[in-house]
Amino acid sequence: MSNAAKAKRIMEDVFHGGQIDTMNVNEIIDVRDQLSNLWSQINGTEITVGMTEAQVTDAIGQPWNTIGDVWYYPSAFSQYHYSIEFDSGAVKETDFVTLMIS
Amino acid sequence: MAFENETTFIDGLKTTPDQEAVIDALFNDPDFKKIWDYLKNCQKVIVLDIRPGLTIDGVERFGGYSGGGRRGRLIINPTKPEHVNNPMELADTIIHECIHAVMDLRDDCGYTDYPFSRDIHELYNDPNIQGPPTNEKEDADPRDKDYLDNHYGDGASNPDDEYIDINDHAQRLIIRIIRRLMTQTGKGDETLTFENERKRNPKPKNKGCCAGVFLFLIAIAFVVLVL
Repeated sequence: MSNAAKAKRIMEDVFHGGQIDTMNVNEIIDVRDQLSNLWSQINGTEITVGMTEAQVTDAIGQPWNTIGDVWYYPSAFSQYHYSIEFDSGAVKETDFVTLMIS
Repeated sequence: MAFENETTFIDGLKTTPDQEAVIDALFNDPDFKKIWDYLKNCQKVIVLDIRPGLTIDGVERFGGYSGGGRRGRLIINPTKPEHVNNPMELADTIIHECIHAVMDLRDDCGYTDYPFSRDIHELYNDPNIQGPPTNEKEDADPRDKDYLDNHYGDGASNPDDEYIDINDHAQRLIIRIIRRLMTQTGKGDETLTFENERKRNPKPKNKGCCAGVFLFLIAIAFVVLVL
């Protein structure tokens, strides 16, 4: 199973399957970290701390959108996005986030 | 301290004298202070971000909130023309994004000093929505369309294509705070949230008028017959 498929399975089971309703905070945080870690390896692509913007673009293409130093890529679920935060042009942190825009 | 950049953020919101007056009043408003203090006292970090000209999908946006990750990010565009022309619209957006932030932090920080009633929901966590939650009108599940029309309404920056992402109870909280700020400061005007509330709940036709006229005519006829 690809990492993208694993991430999608987690999303379906946990969020849309309703598991989240009975999970405690630590379990939810664990799911979040699993998704975040999977994201850093989606389809075998390693996005690691310290990579340059050009290296990220070469690896996974242009972002869907940027807000300041944070780049957002779409996921299989419309409200969730993969985010890459840069600091002085180098990857500082990756995450898996909701993005609500007004 | 759960905020990054709090002082810079608040200063950055004040791009005009009217905005300054409204922002000062907002941060002293009792309902808003409960919201802000809840966020501030939570251990989860929220990055406060001023983004003049924030544009997403080719549309200049009022603001946004990114949550669910290790840190929250609350973004405001203070120079959007609607924010400059009507500083109450700026206060509206700040409260709106703070509502998302509170929802995001609820699992981390619990219900002690939780600033909302339990009927305030954002679209993505509303238990009444049956299909996959989305604010895109064309993607909304047909089972949810009436509910979204009646309890959410149009999004602020892209009303033709998007639903607003907080429910009617949340919108009424915003309206209550904005009304108080308008009275206090004498600045600004009603916001898009007021307009949305009116669109979702149009005033009924004045039946009292017609019924009154009808009764009046019957009374006249009665008097004429008696005489």
